[in-house]
This record gives sequence, C-alpha cells and structure tokens, in this order.
Amino acid sequence: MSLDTKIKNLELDLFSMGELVIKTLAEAVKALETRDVELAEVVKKKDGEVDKAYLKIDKDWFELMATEQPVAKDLRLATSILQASLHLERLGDLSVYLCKTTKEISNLPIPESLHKIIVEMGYMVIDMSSEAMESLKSKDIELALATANKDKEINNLYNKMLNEVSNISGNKDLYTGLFRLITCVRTLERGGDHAVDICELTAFLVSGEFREF
Amino acid sequence: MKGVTLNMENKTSSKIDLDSVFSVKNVSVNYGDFVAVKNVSMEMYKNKITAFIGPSGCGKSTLIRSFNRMNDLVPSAKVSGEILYQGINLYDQNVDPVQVRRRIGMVFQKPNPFPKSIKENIAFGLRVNNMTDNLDDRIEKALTQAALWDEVKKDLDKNALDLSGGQQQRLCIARTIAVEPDTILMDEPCSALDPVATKKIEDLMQLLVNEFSILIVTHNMHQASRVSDYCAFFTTKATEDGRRTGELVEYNDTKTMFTNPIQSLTEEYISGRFG
Repeated sequence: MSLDTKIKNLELDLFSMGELVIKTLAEAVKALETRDVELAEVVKKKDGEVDKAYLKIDKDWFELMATEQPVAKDLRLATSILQASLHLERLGDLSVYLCKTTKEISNLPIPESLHKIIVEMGYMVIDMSSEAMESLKSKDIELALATANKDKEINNLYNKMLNEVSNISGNKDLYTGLFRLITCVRTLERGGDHAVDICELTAFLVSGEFREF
Repeated sequence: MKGVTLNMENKTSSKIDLDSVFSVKNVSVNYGDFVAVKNVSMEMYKNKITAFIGPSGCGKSTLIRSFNRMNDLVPSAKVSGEILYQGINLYDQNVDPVQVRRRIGMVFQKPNPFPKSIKENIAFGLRVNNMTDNLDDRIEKALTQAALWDEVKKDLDKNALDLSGGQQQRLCIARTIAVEPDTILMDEPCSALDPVATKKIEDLMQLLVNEFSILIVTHNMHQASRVSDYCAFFTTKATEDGRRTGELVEYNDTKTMFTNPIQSLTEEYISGRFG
C-alpha cells in the first residue's frame, strides 16, 4: 500500500469516526432532553464502537510512522489525524456521561431552567464538533476560527448555570440532582474545548504553525 | 527565487549569534559551456551542520567542491560569482588553494585511505603542512576526535585498507581534521556504509560540529533531517539545449524544511513524490 493510500485511509477512518461520535452525541443529548432513560442505555453501549475506531487509527498511525516516516504535509496530516481521533474519543466519553446523567436525574426534581441550559449546551457542543470536523476535512481555517469562537457561548452558559445553582435552595433530592447537573455541565464545557482543539489542528495542518485559539 | 533566503522570522535571537562561514553570492559553476549549477546565493553558519539535498545531477557535489577549490583540479571547470569564506574571497588570486584545502577539509563518498599504515595516513597531511611537532600526540588527537582511537590504538602500524569500511571513513575524517581545518565538507560520506557504520559517522558529526562547521551532501533525506541544522534543496531544470542545470530551490532551517517547507518542489522531493 502506498503512502498516499495509507494516509487517505487514515483520513477516511477519522471522518467516519467523527460521524459516529457526532451521531452518538446527538442521540445522547436527545435522551437527556427528553429524559429518555431507555434511549440513554442504548446510546451508552455505542461507546465500544467509538473506542474501536480510535484504537484502529492509533494502530494504523503507529505503523505509518514506523514504515513510512512521513514528512512535511504528510507528517502534519498524520499527526493531526491522531490528535483529532483522541479528541473524538473524549467526545465519545461525553456521550456516555450524558447518558449516565439522564439516568441519574430521571427521578430527581430538576428545575426546568437548568435542564434547558444543559440541553442547549449539548446542542452547541454537537454543532461545534461537527463544524470542527468539517473545517479539518475541508482544511478551512476561517471555519475553524469561527467555530472556535463559539466556545465563548458555551463558557457563558456554563457560568450562567453556576450562578443560577448558587441561588437555589431545596431538599436533599434537589441538591443531588444539581450536583449531577454541575458535573455534567463541566463535562460539556470540556466538550467545547475538544472541538476548539480540533479547530486548532485544522490551522496547524494548513499553516504548519501551532497556535492556541 | 522565493525561499532561498533563510527564513529566520522566529529565530531573531539566533540570527544575532550566528557567524557566517560561507557567504555565497550568485555562484555558477560551468564545465566548459555546460552550466552545472547556476546563480546560487546563500549563507552557511559556523558550528552548524548544513545539508545539501537534491536529485542526481542537481549540482550539489559540484557546488560543495567549489567551496574548497577542488574544482581547480578540473581544467574545464569555471566558478563565477563570489564565495566568501570568513570574509575572504576564496577565488582571489592571492589566495593559496593548498591553504584553502587545509582550512576547509573534505571527506568523500568512498573511503579513500592511502594504502599505508593507519599512522601514516594521518602523518602524511601533517608533514605536507609542516605540522610535525608532537606528531604522535597530533595523531592520537585526530583519531580520538574521529572516535577511532580506542579501536586502532594497538594497531597503528596496520595497513589502513585492512580496516572495515566504516573505520576507513572515520580514518579519512581523522586525516582531514588532523591538519586543524575550520570546516569539513562531506560528500555523501555514508553512502558506502551500512546502517551501523552510518550511525557512528552521524554521532561523530554531532561531536565534531562543536569544533568545526560541517557541510554534507547526502542522498539520504532522513540523514539530512537527522543530522543537519540547515538544509538546502537543489534541483535540475532543463535548459534550451536539452541539458540540465542545477538550481537552489529552498534553503531553510531543517525543522522547517521537513515539517513545513515553503516551496512545493521541496515538499514533493522530501515526501518522495518528485518527478
């Protein structure tokens, strides 16, 4: 197999992993939004596929390095693919976390306003991850930059959530639910960061220079 | 020609520290009416390893040979333009080519020791250059610097041709550095060696660069990426009469050359998609 074919295959594997992760994330957010515990259980099990896709890319990347010693654009592409796959794997873990939260809060009295914030953040992470992967696919720095800028909105929602929670008083069940929501919202905030990191890889791939967005 | 000037944007501090060894301005080398390499301008730096890479016939060996006036020995060869070595024009009529070759030593592709003892191989150049005081010490120092002393110290009278290829090449390096040059030119020094002997030469280069400036011509791009600090890529372009002339395409720090080269021709060559 030629170097070109090996790298193309890695790229194809990454983008199909991206589709799987984003589809799973969308289902996980849907389960959280509709408080659908059964759906959450089904979605949670899909993480095995994500992990499998990540391990394949990791193994193929390692073999590519050992056998081809790529340089220049090939090296940047192969490195970006490996790093992006790690961020996707973490976004896959986020789906699992959302599914667990769906189950944990199913019988707890959660204020509707907070539930709304967390679902909104979920959709924003899906949107950012999807655009981050598109920027990597089309090697579009403008899109990467615009997508990374959306992280501010996620951070704003995260802070809004923290501010609202401190004003709420209630019983033990409510506090338990709020605790679950806060840890979940922190995980979602990290999800936005993974999308930003993928955007940074797009810029690195195109320009050859790494910069923090 | 874009990209020929060293891209030093992110190396402002090192730019101040770097001393130029060779300053090459619009240099062309002809063999009769054939232009082997044309219009090369570049700076090479003290105590750095500069690698020349490029396909066969691109003029990299021709150019490196003009850096110590080895081309003087080819009657039809003519060097035009200016090669300043530490500020001195190498082709000035007052410059003695023998002194040039003592200050700028050369190691060749095929190990070429004299068919004499190991000791004599080193002593020969020292005698030619009237450096016979402390001869034994000089021989030991050169062999030690070339990482060969421990292997041959008990066999100094042994014929050099009985050494392995890698040892012969290190002997040639010892012979070169014995006469105390400032710069070592290496023309594909490892192409006749196995990977173990190659590794020893490459490790040796990393030690030698503390004392000498090194220019290496290599066909092995991984070698260039492993050992060099700066890298120049040459290629050939067809002329009107169908012959090919060498040109400098890109000269940059090695990290940039192998991670983010400026010229697409460089990218194609180093990633094996050239031609």
